[in-house]
Amino acid sequence: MKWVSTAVAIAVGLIALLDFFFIHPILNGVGAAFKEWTIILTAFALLLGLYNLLNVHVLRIIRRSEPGAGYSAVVVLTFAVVTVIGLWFGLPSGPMNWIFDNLYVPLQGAFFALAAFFLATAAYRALRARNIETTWMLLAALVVLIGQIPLLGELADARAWVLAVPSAAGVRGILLGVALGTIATGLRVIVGMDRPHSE
Amino acid sequence: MLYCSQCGTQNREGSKFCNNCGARLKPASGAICPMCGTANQVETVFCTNCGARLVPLTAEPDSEKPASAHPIKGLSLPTKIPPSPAHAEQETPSPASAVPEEPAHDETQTLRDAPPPSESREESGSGQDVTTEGETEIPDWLRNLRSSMPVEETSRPSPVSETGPVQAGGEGEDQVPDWLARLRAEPPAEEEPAARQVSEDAPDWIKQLQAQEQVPVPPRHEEDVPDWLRQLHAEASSEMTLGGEEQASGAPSGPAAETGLEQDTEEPESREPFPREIKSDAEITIPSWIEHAAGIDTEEPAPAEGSELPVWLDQSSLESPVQPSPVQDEPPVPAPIDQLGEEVEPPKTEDQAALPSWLLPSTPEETPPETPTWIEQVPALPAAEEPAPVPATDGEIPDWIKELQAREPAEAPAETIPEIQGAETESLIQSLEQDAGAEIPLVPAEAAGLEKPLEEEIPDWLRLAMPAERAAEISAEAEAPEEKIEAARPEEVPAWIAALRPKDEVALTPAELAGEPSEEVGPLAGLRGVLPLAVAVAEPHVQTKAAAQPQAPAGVHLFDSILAAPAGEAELPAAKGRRALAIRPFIYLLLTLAVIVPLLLPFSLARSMLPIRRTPAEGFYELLQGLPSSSTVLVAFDYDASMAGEMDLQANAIVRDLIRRRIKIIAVSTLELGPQIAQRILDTAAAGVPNYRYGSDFVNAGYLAGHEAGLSQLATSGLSANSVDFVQKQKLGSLPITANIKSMRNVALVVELAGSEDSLKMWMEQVQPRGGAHIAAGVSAGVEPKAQAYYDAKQIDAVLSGLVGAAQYEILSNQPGLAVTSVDAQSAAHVVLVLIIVLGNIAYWVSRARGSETARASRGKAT
Repeated sequence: MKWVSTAVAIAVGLIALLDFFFIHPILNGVGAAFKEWTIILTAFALLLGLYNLLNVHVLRIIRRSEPGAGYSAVVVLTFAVVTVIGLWFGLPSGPMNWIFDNLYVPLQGAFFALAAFFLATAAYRALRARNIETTWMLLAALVVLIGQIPLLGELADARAWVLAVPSAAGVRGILLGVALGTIATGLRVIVGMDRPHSE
Repeated sequence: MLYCSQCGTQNREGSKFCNNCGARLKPASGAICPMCGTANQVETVFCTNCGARLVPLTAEPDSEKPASAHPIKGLSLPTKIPPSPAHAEQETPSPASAVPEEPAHDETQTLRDAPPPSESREESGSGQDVTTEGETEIPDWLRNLRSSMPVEETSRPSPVSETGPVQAGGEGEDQVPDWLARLRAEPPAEEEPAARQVSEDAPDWIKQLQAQEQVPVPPRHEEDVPDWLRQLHAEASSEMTLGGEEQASGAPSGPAAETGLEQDTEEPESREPFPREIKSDAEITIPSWIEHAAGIDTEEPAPAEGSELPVWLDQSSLESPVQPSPVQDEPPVPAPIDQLGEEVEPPKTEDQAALPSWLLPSTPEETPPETPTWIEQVPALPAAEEPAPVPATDGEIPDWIKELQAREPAEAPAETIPEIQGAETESLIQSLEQDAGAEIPLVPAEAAGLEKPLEEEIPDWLRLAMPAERAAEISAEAEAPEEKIEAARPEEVPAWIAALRPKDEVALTPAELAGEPSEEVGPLAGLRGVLPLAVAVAEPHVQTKAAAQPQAPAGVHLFDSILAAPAGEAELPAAKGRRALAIRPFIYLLLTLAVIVPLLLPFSLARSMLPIRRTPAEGFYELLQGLPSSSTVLVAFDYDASMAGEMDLQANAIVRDLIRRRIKIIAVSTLELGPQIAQRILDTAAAGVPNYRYGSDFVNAGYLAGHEAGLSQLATSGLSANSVDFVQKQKLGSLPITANIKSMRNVALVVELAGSEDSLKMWMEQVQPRGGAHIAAGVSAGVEPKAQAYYDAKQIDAVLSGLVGAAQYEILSNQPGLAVTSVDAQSAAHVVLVLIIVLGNIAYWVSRARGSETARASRGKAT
């Protein structure tokens, strides 16, 4: 029966591809329906992710012997509280906004801000002119950092040049490579060489 | 001992190369294996090195068989038959037979009585013509053939005569060839000059042979005489009239040979080619061996001396392929001819008992299936070429003759009949065809698969002499040699050679294609002969289970022990540990102060010194300023709470400016928490603008599920009418601001606030090309390189990057806020980072210099 799933995948892939390139009422209608189905499926994927998260932490709490069971209890408890408040008060609501503005966002921001200290320490250790390559990398980092400083606006043009020429060239190459890889992957699925849906 | 053909140096027996000049040595006698080139004994049937068969299997002689049973299809082979009981003792190469049982003088005495082949020439007078008048070089056998004279049975050739053109002194029994005399008398050391001298006495065609091959074969030593020849001599001695040894001693020696050479070499310029000398039928005589083979009773034109000799020896003198010396009474026998005689046609009837087995006639029963292919091609030629021992110049010798001469020095050139024309030639060929099958031990050409190869090598003169139909048939076959070869010789190619034949150019037949695996999946399904994909490509999802390594269990236990061990501080060197502990808080402290102080004590340096003009932020600002009032802008809040510290400043600056200008805003997000962030920004910005209401002026459309699919749907179909907004939970189709948004073309601008590359990429791939929307990207500093790439490609209309961009936009929109203040803190932090990096490099170079000094000091102490 694997051929059924393969045939369905090829058909849907071809329709989605044709829908992207052509304007046709029927074709675009079928393509839109497929997109709606995909959106619904991704919503279910969120529920599956939630189930998996709770399953892992609940099992860890039940076993107790595993390290970090206390943190798992905090996760499960926080989930339950926010869920109850959200279901009770709805979204958006005052309690939910307070939780979001005063707990979630500051925690996330603080956690991300720690990266600045780690990056500073790493820059002290790693950005050293050991050889030619690291010297070039060190110079580029210094130019970009100093170019961000408005007090030294003279280096802003140098920073813009670094970002617009060498950095953008590398990024453009990455984008082209990703695009080609995406095309190849899509073609492989459409022609049936890749069958991740039937595994 | 072997003598070098180039320098004459005496080399050890078995040597392959000359010790003096390095030239390849050819054995004085023996059979050369055509497969590996190994020299074998004459009587050897199979090569001692590679096992290849040296002697072809031929048909049994059938004396009772009538004539013309086998017409000549070409050239025949010297054949070998299994020894009969009567011949077994003589033919078996035993150690005893390898040693001559009789003294050397007996052999020479036996042969001393042999009449020289020149006697027949003396009778015909041709010898004088050649040497003196230069008129003709026609041998006796050709003259006899021309005159169609019957040949007596006694004129059959003898193997002894074939050992060389024994040049008697003209007196018959008293003449002893000098090579035989040397065999007996001269030591090996003296043979070399003698051999050269005798070879110079040879007739022209032999000289030409020598000149072409450049291989003057050293004279024969007694040890080099093959066993079969010794046995033959021993038997012949009992039949022949013994001659005095003194005659051998009286044979002309070197000086006489030199004299003959002078006479012979002075004349060649005056000679005319042989074919021109054939003026009439009377000048051509059929060789006795051919006449005998034809079964014609002819009179022997040989002199009376021939009758005094034993029959076989008399025949041998006539049959000799060479009619060498034109000088009468000149006895020198060329050494090469001596060697040639070992390999030429043997006698056929009553002297067969004295012959080696391989010279005996063949039996038809054995011939076809066991004849090696290489023998079918090569050695079959000499027997038929023997009747043409007429001198020829280099220019007259066809290539195939040269090849044969190169392989077989004893073979006589066969191009001496090229211009034989007319009925005489036809009669010659007819007589050959009629007679060869009767008594000449020919190999059945058809049975041995020789017909086609041999016919392909038939010279032109012979083809002209053939009947017209047959000549045309052969010519037609020669025009398509490759096809004929492929068709006629499939069995001649050994299997190991056939296996080496390149097969890549061979097109697969349908039957072979049927055996090829066919493609089972994909668009090529059903096709055969498709190059298979690599396993990893064709079956990417088939996971190959890695073979367990022997040390794998030990590694697993070690890994488990490391994980189970309690966490502890890394055991670093004390000095490095203290240094790390000292520098890390210092860095953290500097960075904290650099961020906090500007926030607490605003310097407002950014507002006064931040570049504004001709920046991307200015372009972004100009783009938004170009939007008409009451136009609709879609703002995507695609960043999460972790990026809110940077991206909220951009969002606040942009949203405040848009709301201030009363531009309608539709907020969406592809992240789950994006609508909450968007709502916070919108509420803050809308609060400062009167009459800017939710639902009519701005709306939070909420979360766009489906990632790429959701964006694709947004680009083509707009906001789903059945979706509800984030705040009021009303259907978007019922809201005035979103009711008319059917695609991205219905919005003036899309502002993508991307905190990550993935969000920006999704919008650029799904919305920008299909929806045709204008997109302005406000991105974090980390996403700026990617946004710059899209901006360079004109896919993005404007880019606002990071905290600096937010500050620039605040300054441009004349609403300075937290972004401008944060730029001061960020600039201070960047300065600290630059200082930290510089300090790190200074410390690195100082420690490196100290390390070098320490190393030098330690080395100095050590030394």
